[in-house]
Amino acid sequence: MNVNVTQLSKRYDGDVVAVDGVDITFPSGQTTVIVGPSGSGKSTLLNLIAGLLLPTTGSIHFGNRDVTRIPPEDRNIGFVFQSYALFPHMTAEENVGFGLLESRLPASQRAEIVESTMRRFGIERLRRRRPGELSGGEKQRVALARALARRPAVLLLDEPLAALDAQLRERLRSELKSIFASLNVTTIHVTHDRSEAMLLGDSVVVMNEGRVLQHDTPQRIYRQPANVFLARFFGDANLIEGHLDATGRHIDTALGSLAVSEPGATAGPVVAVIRPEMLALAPSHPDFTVRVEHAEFLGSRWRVEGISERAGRIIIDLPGDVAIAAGESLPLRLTRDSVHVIAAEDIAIGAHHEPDLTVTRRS
Amino acid sequence: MRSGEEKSGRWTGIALVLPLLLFLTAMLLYPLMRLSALALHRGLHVDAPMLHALRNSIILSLGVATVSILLCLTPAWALARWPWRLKVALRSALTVPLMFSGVIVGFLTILMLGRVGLIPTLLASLIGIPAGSGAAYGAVGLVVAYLYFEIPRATLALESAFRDIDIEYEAAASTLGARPWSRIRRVILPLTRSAIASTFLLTFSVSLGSYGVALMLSRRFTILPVEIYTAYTGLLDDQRASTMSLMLVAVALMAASLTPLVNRRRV
Repeated sequence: MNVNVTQLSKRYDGDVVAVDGVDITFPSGQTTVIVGPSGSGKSTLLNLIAGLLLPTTGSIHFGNRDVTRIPPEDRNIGFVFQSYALFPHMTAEENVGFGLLESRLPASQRAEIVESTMRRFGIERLRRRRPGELSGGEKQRVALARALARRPAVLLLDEPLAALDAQLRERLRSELKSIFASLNVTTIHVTHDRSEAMLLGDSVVVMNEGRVLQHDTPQRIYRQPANVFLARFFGDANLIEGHLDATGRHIDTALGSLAVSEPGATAGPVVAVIRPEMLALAPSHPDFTVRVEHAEFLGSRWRVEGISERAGRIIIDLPGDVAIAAGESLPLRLTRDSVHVIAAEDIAIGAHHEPDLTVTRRS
Repeated sequence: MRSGEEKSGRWTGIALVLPLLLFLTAMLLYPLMRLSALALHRGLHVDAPMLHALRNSIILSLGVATVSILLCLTPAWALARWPWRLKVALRSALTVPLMFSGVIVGFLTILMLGRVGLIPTLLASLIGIPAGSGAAYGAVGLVVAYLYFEIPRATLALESAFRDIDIEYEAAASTLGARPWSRIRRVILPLTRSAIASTFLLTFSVSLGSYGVALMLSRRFTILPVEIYTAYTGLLDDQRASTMSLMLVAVALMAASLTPLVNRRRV
């Protein structure tokens, strides 16, 4: 069942626009990750889809059903809160069974579902524990089991890993990946963490200031970001200024003439997005050279910051098995035949929407 | 070394609470002993009117506490949850009756329910019930007058309890399919049970000891505080007054001893 939001907006008092005319189709049975800096409107959007907030304008459809004005209890959703919101007066088992009590299933069948759901998440031994006696990771599992025990049509997760420490977060991230893969449920996962978005999303929606900047597969967002904000949001990027020629196929840059991977844009000023791993050592026929400012050895690779006389500061990832020292001169070449370019108007957007990536945890 | 530190810490602690200990000895322990001595020095004497007043006091306080809780649950809930702008004004208005002395409350009740009060007059002119019954002076008048200061107390206490529950519990319950009534029954009430119980005990204890209102109103409905006053200042009967005081103290202590019980299982 697809989830569709159409021209969805949420304005708060004092004209704060949290979500601003958003159109997204969340494909049936797939995991869509909404990612953006804090204040980008991603959690508000999720709460609108859940029915915990009412939109100012626009509509929400689950399949063909218009749920815009339907309260959350009638939407058949599962929601995992960042704080988990496990009921403190109930045991883990009672929490997992909470949603089933609202169904008209006989008690024996409910108990069976609770049992099998808890077993599936490996939490059957926590049955009689109260949330106060559970660790962060255990709470997260109970919250997930509670949301899924009812077999919801749509699973919504609001930063479910943000409250955990880094090590546990990494482990549970892979676990979530396999859980999502095993479910045939339309899943919408909100996070501020870009690597989480890349790992978990069949597709990724990047939001900033209440708007959708790009909705695409993680690979395409990484390789073909729509603007400078997106180019920087997913990983490091060397943004090389250039001029697109009249054919729309080549740009002139300080690093020479480069072919454009998606020709056809109108001629004019552009930037080319060159990821650090798109550059390699080329002792015989270098395209350009840089002088090494900084070199960090990261085991499998070097992260090098160099200065090119023509193009300024350049970040390069090089294999870990060579020797690199600060001050030396590196001959480099571009390992791709063509580069992705961002047109001038999108540069302006990107520059204006300079991301503030410091993450403030929600209280 | 360490135990020495602990010892000196303990003495500092005792020194710090010393004023409190002195207060409790002077104001509670000693008077209670004198009271007991007065009540008992010619042998304990309890008669039917005393027991009647005791019974009335307990019934009145239980009734007032029950009605206050029932009347205040939903308004307190609304105050805690709805983003009203009027909320602050409403909350301050509620504290006004709390500052009035009991005598004033009694007077206000007479103006409403007394022989020529607003409601009896209205009833007389509208549906021909003869005025002059003076509902203010019986049990009804007392309940109404007590509600006057118990409703604000209960509302404010319950509101803060409701505000303490994280709104996400309700949100979670609704995403799990629970309708409003089910959310109240399965999530909100269990989480506020101890707060409701302690609010009940609070309103009960305040009603039990309340005196000024009753002095103005309770002509037909005898309650302990007024009987104690009459026995001491009117009849000059020390023993009678002390005996009834001990009864009142005993009931109040019983209520107070329940408070930690209802608060124990705070999750």
